[in-house]
Parts: sequence; structure tokens; C-alpha cells
Amino acid sequence: MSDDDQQVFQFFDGKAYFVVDGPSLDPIKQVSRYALAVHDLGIYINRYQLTAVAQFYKLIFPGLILTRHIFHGFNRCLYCDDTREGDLNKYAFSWKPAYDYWWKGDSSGIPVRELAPPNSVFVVLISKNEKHKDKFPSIDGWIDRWCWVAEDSALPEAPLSWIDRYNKKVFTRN
Amino acid sequence: MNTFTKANLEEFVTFFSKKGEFRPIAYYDKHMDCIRVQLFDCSFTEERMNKFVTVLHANHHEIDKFAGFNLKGIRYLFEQIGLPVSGVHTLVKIIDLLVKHFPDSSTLKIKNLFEPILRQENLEVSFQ
Repeated sequence: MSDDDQQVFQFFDGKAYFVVDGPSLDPIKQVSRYALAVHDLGIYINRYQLTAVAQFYKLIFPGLILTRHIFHGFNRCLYCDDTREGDLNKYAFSWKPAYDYWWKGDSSGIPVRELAPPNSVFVVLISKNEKHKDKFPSIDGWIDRWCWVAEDSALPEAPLSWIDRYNKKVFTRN
Repeated sequence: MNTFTKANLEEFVTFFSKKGEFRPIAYYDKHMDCIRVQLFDCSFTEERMNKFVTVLHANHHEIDKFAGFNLKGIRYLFEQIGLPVSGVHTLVKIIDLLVKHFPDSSTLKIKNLFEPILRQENLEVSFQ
């Protein structure tokens, strides 16, 4: 990594992370910080899931501050971190970006910008940082996953059937 | 807002990647307790069929093209269908057992849509 990279990545314990700002899960804070290990995005590259990498760079890395809604808990079985209630640590951030990105070509290709898929919202799944708060005190959550989901017709910028998907809505930006 | 510097997207991809191209993949996502099956490297929209099955529709295509699927709640599902969450399992075997134990429209749709390509690619999921 070059000196320039120091301005892009943040380093904890000698490992590099992407860190982005977004609305807080903590009611007493306005803004929280969410992270993804550079190594974890590298796994996507190793699988040549380059569209997902382009979406991360173009839609998430600029920040989650335009998130319209945050939902807490998934209405499905989710065994994670040695608990059957792993869904209670999970949050879904949704909003409606104007554009989508996909990757054209092999690993020396380029990202291509398109209008966002119609009637869809972009959703980023985040795990609250509870287990590793000692080691990463400034990080409030870990970015797990991102994708497009059909939009709910009754609640703009929310995933379709959000009432069935999630335990509750915990934030809406006015 | 982060400032983009030399470490831009194209350079990031080049830094990590070896020369190669996407092949259909299946893997266990331990953070979300699900199996993800992706057949193309493309943008896609997820369609939730039920608590256990999600189908991926490729975006930016004129015709509806299926890009893959997710099987969710794997530890619970494997308990129900009698598979250990360890070792390596073929997708064909997992889906056969799913249809046998949960023969609803969602599991049948997954079998009908994806079984040929899963057999052709001999996709496996490793829990090691």
C-alpha cells in the first residue's frame, strides 16, 4: 500500500479497513462509523465478483449518510456467533441511489454506470460491533453484505414486504 | 465523505486479482448463515421467496435472467434435512433434500430453474 492509501484506508492492528459514516444505531449519536476489512473485499475479487466490488466502491464507500431507513433483526433463522438469535445483531440500511454499477470485462476491466434498476432499493446489511468493541472502539458496525431488493410500494426506499422481513424499523431520515 | 486517492477502484481490483474470469460459485456466508449461489458476475435484485429461499434476478437485461439464489437459515435447515454443517456437500444433494423435506413452490422453483446448471458445474459448498 502506498502513502496515498493511508488517506483511503484506516488501519487497526496493522490491518486495513474501509471506514464509512452513516446514521447511528445508537440513539445518542448522530453519526456512526461502519467498516469492512480490505481483506474481505479482496475475497470478492478472488472470486471475480467484481460487480459487487464496484458497487461497494461506488455506492457504499462514499458514505451511508443518505440511508433512508434502518431495520433491525431478520424474521428468519440466523445462527451466527454461537447464537440462534444471530439476527438480533443485524441491521439493514436501505435507500434509493440514482445509479447502479457493474463490472465490464475481466480483472483489468472497468466499472460501468447505469441508471438504478427500476422499483428497487439498495440494501446494506450490517452487524453491530458488540464483540470487538474493545479492539475497535471507534467502529460501530461491520458491513456484511449489499444488494438490490425490490421496493415496497407503501414505504418509499424500503425493501418490499419489509414488515415480513425484519423485526422492526428503527430509523427513517425525514 | 471519503476522498478518493490513488487507491481507486480499478487499481484496487488490479492489486488483489490474478488474471482470470468469473466462474459460477457457491459458498457459505457465515455472517448471514446462508449459502450463496451466483452464476454470473452481474448486478442483481434479490427476490425473497420465503424465509429460506431468495432468487437473484440479473439487472440491466431486457429479459428476466436468473443470476443465482440464496438458501438462508442453513444451520436450522441442515438440522431439519439431516446434513452436518461440516465437510463438503454438492448443491444438487442439498436441493434434493430440501425438496424432499420442504416440497413447496419455492424449493421446487429452485430445483427446476437451477438443477441443470448445478449438475453441469458440479457446484459444491465447503463448510471447512
